[in-house]
Amino acid sequence: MKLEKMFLMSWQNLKRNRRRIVFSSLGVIFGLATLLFFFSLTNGIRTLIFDHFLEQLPANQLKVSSAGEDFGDEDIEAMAGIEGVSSANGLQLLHADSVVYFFGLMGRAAGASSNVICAGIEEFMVRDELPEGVDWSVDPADEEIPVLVNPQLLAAWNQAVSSNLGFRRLEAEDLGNVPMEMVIRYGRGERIEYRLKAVGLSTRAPIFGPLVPLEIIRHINNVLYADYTNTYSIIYVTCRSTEHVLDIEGSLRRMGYTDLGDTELAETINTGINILTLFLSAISLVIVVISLVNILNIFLINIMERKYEIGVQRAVGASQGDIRAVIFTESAIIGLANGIVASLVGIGAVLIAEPLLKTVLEGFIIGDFSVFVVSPWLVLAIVVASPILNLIAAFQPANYAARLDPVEALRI
Amino acid sequence: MIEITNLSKRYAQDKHSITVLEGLNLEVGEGETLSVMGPSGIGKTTLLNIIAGLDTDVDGDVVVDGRRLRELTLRQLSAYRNGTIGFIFQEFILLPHLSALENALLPLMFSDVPHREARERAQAALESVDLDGMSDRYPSELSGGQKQRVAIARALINRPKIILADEPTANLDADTERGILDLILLLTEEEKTTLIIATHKHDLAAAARRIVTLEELQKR
Repeated sequence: MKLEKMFLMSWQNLKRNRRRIVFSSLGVIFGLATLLFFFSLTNGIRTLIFDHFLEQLPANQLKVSSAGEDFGDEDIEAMAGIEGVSSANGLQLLHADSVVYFFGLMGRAAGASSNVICAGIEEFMVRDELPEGVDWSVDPADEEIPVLVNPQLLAAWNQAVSSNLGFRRLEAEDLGNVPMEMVIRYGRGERIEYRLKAVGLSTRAPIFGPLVPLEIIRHINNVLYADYTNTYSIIYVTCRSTEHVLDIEGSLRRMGYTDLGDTELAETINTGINILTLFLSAISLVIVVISLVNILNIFLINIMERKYEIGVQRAVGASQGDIRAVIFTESAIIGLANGIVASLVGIGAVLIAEPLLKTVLEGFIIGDFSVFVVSPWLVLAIVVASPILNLIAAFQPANYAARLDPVEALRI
Repeated sequence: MIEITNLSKRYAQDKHSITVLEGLNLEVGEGETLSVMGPSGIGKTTLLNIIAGLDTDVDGDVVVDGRRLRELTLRQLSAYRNGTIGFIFQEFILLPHLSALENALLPLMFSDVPHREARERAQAALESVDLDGMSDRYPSELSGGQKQRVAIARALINRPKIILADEPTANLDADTERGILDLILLLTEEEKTTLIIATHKHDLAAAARRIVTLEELQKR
């Protein structure tokens, strides 16, 4: 049977059964659309957490956090000495209360102030986040210090502070234009002041405080407490290649450095999201499976009703293969249409749900990030999988139809 | 053209075996017209189904156009029905969702004839049975005689060597009956097609050059 005729016969059959097919397909469309919706939601949550809220380390880097006491230079040396490690760099916290003043956020003079946690880090660790031309190796005597700000701080400002208190919203590029001053008070009314200039964003920065050149923090800690000059709360271990990461992680654990920071947190979150994805997908898949059984039934009913027609076709020369081919083509066309419609419905639901969900979650630090991420691969998978699933559902009915005895079929 | 030797057909029903045909012998030459007579339920339709290769669960030998039917695979049997046999049924057996043209070209849907050519041939076949201008009509819009004409067009469209007509005028009034019969005879004669008519009506059977009863065929 020629392909053109096979499609033509299938099309004729689909046309006359269109109502029944549309109604029986609704379940599959709904199931596949919810699958796309749920996957996009969990995908979005994963992206939101990992790309925007969790610090993203390069694949060849490990983050070692101090469980209690800060690390010292000897820890850095020990970690740098592990085979395969190219460098170990510390992040030092400012061991003093500090306040940052922001100016010009509401009117010219009015500003805001906040107690902050300030951390210092070497240029090597923030090289990728620094804009071109920004010099991170400043002298503590310099008048203006470059700082990096955590993107969550910016989001928190825009979501919680600016909207509630009437301050203006800030975009990343506006930060450089907000005059900032950090004041550290100590002793009897003594103070150290620095003018700060935000030069960019970094997930390594403390959530509520600036990330500054390590030398500045060292200098202040030295002025205040000499003991803290060479202490670090986090050490970043950079491996020569990603192949060494697992071995080095093992070595670090054996050396007693067990708090490998965000790795465990990320694994926990990832597992949680995977469980959520599986749970939601299971709901969708149950809908899809029930609908496919329904489609199988519809096909069987259809074939029972078409017995006579199949008998006529066999009588005029249709082979068993021809009968199967027509039914399989029908089911593949239905499946393809279902896949396309389900994808469109799913994407439509995402487009509707995104702003609604953002309105509901207005108090949360989501900012302009998307809650849903629709993967084109998932859309493609649905469009491809739908006809395959339909073909599976049509397998038994097609075989039944092909094996009908034409004489029996014509007796109806 | 057709050689049937010692043909028997039995049906199993409720643990019993019902014999429909027993030791049937028949020879039909190329281009011959034959009427097989017998009362209803005696096995005429069964004989035609066997010749058409629709029923192969039989004892005996059926050789058609040099092919021993029981030796053919299912696929070969389908090709045989498609290329060698044209069947005209008592009940017309048209598909209600297809137009007259689509019903007429149905056998060609399962052949290698390109679709465009198939439509042209179906159109010509409808014209040959005086149904030009009715190709877009559905069976529900046609009279009994017109439906049987579409069925004749369908039977002839693949230019078969054998036409099997099973009570072709049973559902038609007397006026239409003669017209349909003449049409079948005319078209089969034109194409030198072998024609076997199964009927219980004497006047219909008389149209064929040779008349046999099913009983006679089983006595030999």
